[in-house]
Amino acid sequence: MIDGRAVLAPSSPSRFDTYTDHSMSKTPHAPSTLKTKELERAELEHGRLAVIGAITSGLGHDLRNAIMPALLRLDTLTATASLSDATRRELHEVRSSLSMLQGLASGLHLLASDAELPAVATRNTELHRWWHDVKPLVHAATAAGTTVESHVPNSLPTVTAPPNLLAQILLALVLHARECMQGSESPQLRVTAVKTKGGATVTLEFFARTHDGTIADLGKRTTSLTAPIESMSGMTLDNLKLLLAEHGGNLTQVECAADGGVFTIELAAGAQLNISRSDALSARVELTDLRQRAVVQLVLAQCGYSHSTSTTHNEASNPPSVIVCDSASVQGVLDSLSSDEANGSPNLIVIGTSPLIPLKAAHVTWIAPTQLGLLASALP
Amino acid sequence: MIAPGDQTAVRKQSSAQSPDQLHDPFTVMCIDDNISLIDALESRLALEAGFAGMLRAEPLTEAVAYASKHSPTVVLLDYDLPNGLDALQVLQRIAQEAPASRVILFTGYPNRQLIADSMSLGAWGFVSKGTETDRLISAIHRVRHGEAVVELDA
Repeated sequence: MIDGRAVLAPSSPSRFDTYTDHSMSKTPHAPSTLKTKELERAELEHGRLAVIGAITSGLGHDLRNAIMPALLRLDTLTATASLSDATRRELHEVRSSLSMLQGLASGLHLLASDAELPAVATRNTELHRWWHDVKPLVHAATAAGTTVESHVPNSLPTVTAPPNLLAQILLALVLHARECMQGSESPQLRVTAVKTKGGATVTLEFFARTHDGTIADLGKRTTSLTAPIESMSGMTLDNLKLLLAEHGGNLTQVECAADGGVFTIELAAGAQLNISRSDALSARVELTDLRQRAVVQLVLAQCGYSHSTSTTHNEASNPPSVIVCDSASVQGVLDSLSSDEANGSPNLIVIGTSPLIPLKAAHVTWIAPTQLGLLASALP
Repeated sequence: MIAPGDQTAVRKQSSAQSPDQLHDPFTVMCIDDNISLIDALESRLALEAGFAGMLRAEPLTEAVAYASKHSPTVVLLDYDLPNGLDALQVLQRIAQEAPASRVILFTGYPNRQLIADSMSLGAWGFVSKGTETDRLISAIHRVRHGEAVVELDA
């Protein structure tokens, strides 16, 4: 929950500091009693914000359930031949709006979901897709008139930080900067993501100019991020750094000039989908079960392998890096291998239950049919 | 239970289909409590050549028995089912009791573990509710023609 971190920011003044509880006794409390009451209030606020976050996240989810039928209906309508050009243009505009709403719903869900839930915390992020989801929210969160430029290519590697956490960090920085950039001339936000040796780096550059020096506060605000802002929690820069570090990332303030602030978010690469491999990896698939074959071919393709079957395999070509077969075909596959191959190359993955007598071949991995999802991690 | 509905809409050739696939009739069963989605999907699929009807399981608790009885070509299974129904258990049972049907798990917010789990339990495909509608329709065709698919957000 984005706001759930509020209790971790002791330097942030509590919103209850200005709260007057008339039911409370006028008798001065002992310091320990006051501290207990403050903790209780903080706990209550924490719980309240957690509920708001959960509801918001659910709303983002439910919005998708409403948008998909509307888009399908539009498809059906558009396929009607008798529509005039003007009506088609109108329908096109409606579709554009719905697509934008779909993006907002995704961003809302990302923003409000608890990034610490196990199912969420273990998620990796495909940055191009992630930016597609959060971009509408970023536009909405920036100061009025802000120009948002972005360059987040789809060739970036998958990174280990969960998308929810990245959305929350990005929005925390944007919302804090917004307060300082409000009313300035030509405010700009530039979001650039580049591939690095260990993963990817996302750079956020905030620019704004004013005549009265207001923007000088941008550096101060974004450095500490401790000032209470009505629209945000106490997600301090230190907390953001800590959260990111838990996922192998690093948040740095690179520059804090008078007219802007620059942050870099370094992210570690995670398990990849759609890997572009420079070395040609190939696989041979010998599976009789149609579903298993289809799933294996999909996983192989997403892990960067070209694949063939016994009927399409060209004997003259290089031996495959891996052969995936089933229990019924494994002996035949082994018999067809040369002695060198049987001793270690290619790797053999068998979809089936492990035999009582081990096969005399190196690099044989057995995957139960009910564990087919493990295939990607078993590939060489 | 509701039997496959009559489709009166004019069915048009989808550009994604090859001629030999056009006369290949198929049915789709949608296991979802979102009736609006099922209705809209049925209307949209009615434009596809070969679409022979949408099957609906009511109540959802009878979905496995209904799939077993009617063997729909493709089952679109929502991950977030109401009343404590576990979609992965439903998936596993359909894979066992209606092996001819090909199940696509349909969810609002996919994650890598869920994709792996569903593929382990017998799914042919995985489609996010945030995907483009054309990609959803294409996923149904690809699965019915023997391809496993993963379609995430647009």
